[in-house]
Amino acid sequence: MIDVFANLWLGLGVSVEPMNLVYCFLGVLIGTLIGVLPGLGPTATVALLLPITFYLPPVGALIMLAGIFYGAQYGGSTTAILVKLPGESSSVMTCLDGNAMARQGRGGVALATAALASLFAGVVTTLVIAVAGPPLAGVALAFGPSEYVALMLVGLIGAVILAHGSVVKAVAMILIGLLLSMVGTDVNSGQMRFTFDIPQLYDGLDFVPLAMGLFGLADIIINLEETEGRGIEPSPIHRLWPSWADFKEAWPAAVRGTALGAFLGILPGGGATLSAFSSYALEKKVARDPAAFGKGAIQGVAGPEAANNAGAQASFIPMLSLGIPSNAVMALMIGAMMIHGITPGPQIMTKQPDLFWGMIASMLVGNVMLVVLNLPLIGIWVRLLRVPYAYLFPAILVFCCIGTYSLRNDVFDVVMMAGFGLFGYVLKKLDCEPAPLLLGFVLGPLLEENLSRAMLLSHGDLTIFVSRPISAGLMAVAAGLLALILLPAFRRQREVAFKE
Amino acid sequence: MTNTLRSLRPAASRLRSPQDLAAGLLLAAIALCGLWLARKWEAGSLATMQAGFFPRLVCYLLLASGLATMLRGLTADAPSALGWAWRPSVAITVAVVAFAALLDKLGLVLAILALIGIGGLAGRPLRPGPFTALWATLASACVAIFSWGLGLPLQIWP
Repeated sequence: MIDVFANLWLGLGVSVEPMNLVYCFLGVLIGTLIGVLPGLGPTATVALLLPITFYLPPVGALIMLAGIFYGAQYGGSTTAILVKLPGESSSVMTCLDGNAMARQGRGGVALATAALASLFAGVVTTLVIAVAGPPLAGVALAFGPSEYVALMLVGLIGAVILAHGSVVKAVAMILIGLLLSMVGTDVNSGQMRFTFDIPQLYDGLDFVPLAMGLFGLADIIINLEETEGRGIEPSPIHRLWPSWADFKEAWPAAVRGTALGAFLGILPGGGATLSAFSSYALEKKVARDPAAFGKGAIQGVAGPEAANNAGAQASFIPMLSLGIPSNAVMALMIGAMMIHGITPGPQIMTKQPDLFWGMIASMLVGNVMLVVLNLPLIGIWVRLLRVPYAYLFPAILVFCCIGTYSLRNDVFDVVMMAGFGLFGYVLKKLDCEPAPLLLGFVLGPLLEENLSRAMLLSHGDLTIFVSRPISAGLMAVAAGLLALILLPAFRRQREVAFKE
Repeated sequence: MTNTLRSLRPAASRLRSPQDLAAGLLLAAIALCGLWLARKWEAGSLATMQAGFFPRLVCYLLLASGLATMLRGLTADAPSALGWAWRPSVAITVAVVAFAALLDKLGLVLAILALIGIGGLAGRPLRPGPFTALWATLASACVAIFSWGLGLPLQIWP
């Protein structure tokens, strides 16, 4: 315990260095500014701003990216509440009751509740990371190929749960993601796979054009279609602060949401979305008046908001200590680390304690900054949203294009993004979700490499997955998750949560 | 998201789902293409996997899920709405491709003009005055942020 505080103290020392404070502030500010734009969720925002951090020192870059991440997450909640446009799947739940509140002129209350619930969840989860990070890294050292395969199966099955709608389609999306991840040169044999003799594909597809196309461009097309070209209009705001009665109703929901988020966020694949969903379902279950949900219940904002923020922060645990991206944003973070020559994984804590603890402590600082920045600025966010969509979406287009181009200074990536945008629209039309696809794309190379390694070591014996304790445990979790998906009661409950 | 929310409307009658059928066909087609492209790659065995093993495994699983989705499309009821918004989808795609084609030849400022000019057709196009203002704002912001701020080797003028 003393160790934890000594480490946090070291981290606080790093994170309050003037330049790091500036990077953290800039990250939170820019993240919120871009995240609040309709159509740009945390994934797109981090992808868009990733190139900017290439020019910073490693610690500063990661602190800024983390700031961008939770800034964008909160900015996305703002958009979800005001215009019922979730920037990412994790804010779907916030949309339901948050927007209902905004329509009743209680948008300010909803925004403040979201901010305070996020702050609470952020601070608590940061402490959880500080305590649970090191032991998890110890476990990670015992991880062989079979354990990694089992862990990735847990993550991929988790991705099926987080997707709503058809389970088979979610599985198919993961498979397409895996297929896309194979594009390029096979590391073992040098065989070119799915490259069509195009030199730009020899190194594989890049994550950014894929994510920007599937999320950014496809969302623009869908928004324009659903509003017949007019775009989205925000509702007016009357009251900013929650009343005492609101507060009394909201805080238990925030506490439960935080607990759920901190727990589920650690699991790869689950992360923010799953915890937000389960928190909403839980709140509805324990509420005295479940009928109020969907009509502006404050618990329906506080719970999922706390859960998605806690889940988002907890997803740093597998990323930092195992080097496993539990979601698309974490994959981008790993990409950023590798560009700076840092290999994420267990050794990071012992070799670069200032980086590890600095980043964790900066989450505390960043969460406080986020609230300080946002509560007074809610009025301005609203005005920013009043930018007519006719001006907004061309601006989003321009930033998507230049952002993608800047990755390799190659227009080929921009063309790929256009293609993926169209593909994303097709997927939406077919009611397939792009989020599991991205997860499959990110985990694909790791899965293939570890699967072939595990099979090589065991001479093709599949029982290796259940004969080693950690791997067997993870396989049991995977089986449990699978049972949860196939359990009809759970599925019914999931549909109810989405319906109301 | 909105799609799903909409798709949960109670089905008025037992409609079979062209949406699931189309999705299944697309998935199966992708799987078959993948298998065809991977036809010459060595698969190896479970113990010694080669470059063709994982692609084939994934493609067979994808084919199976495609067939399952098709089957559901033929038997279960689901929303039948399959409209296609031609105007936004074509305008956005063409605009981005035009940007890519023009950036290296005509420079950033004119590429942005093409991007927002064609892209604007996806919604309700702006009048010339506001459009010029938007163009000037976006072009100068991009030059300031990406060219001056980040020092990217961007060609700005033709």
